[in-house]
Amino acid sequence: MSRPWPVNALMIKDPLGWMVFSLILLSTWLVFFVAPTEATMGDVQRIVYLHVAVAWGGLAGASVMGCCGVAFLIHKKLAWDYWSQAAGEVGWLCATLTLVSGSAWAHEAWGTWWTWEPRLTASLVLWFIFAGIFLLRSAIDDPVRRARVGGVLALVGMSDIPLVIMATRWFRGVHPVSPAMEPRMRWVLLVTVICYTALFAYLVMRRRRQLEGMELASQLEASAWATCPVPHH
Amino acid sequence: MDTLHVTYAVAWSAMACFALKLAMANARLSRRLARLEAQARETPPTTEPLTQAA
Repeated sequence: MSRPWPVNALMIKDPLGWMVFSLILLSTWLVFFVAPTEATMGDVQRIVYLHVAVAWGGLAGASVMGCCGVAFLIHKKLAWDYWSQAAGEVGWLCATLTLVSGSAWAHEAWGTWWTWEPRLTASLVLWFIFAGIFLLRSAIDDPVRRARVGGVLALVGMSDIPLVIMATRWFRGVHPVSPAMEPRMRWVLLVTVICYTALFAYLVMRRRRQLEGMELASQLEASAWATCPVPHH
Repeated sequence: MDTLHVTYAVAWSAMACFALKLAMANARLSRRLARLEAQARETPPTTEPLTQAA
């Protein structure tokens, strides 16, 4: 029997993990020491680099979750559901951090932690969609049924993505649309988004592999139970 | 500590917790799979049909 899973699966021994960690260190150095200080808001404007990166991660996570959910509904292969679940979990983490970092920025820029502004509201709705999907998934034991329900809900949840992206253009709100940035700021923002995307992709890959391993363990346990010798009395 | 540093600290802590939880679950899963593989090697396949055993 080939070993599909390494015995020492701690990420500390994973060179890819260290590479991703180095990218995050690089982006931190760029954000705090290379990006110029913004004239109006001062240092606190640096929250934007993190905020944009996690917001992108949340939207990408929701998109991947929806697309993989649809792929499961078409092909009926659980492998697609593992991708969907993994991307959704990381996307949910990003959606949470988007709300937290956005709130902190709003407090400094607008003087309030929260306002029912179109993009903020659409982002909160996306967070609740993620939460609802995972709550429902956790209540279903059968993996195929769970994947089917998750796929349908992820597809429905995807409808909020264009709303989040276009909210600043379609509706009148206070959220900045695409503020003019100094070239050095734009470069730092771009590199930060790339670095954080690498981290999120890495986490999704690790989580997907873990879900696959959990399914394998369940199958092994089931087969071990089926072939277990029966004691004779 | 100002808003900027608190925000980054919260975000990194959340990401680190996610990664740590993942790593710990991976380690547990690896042990579980290794144990199951060892059991599968040690246990001889049964010759009795399952229906008879039941």
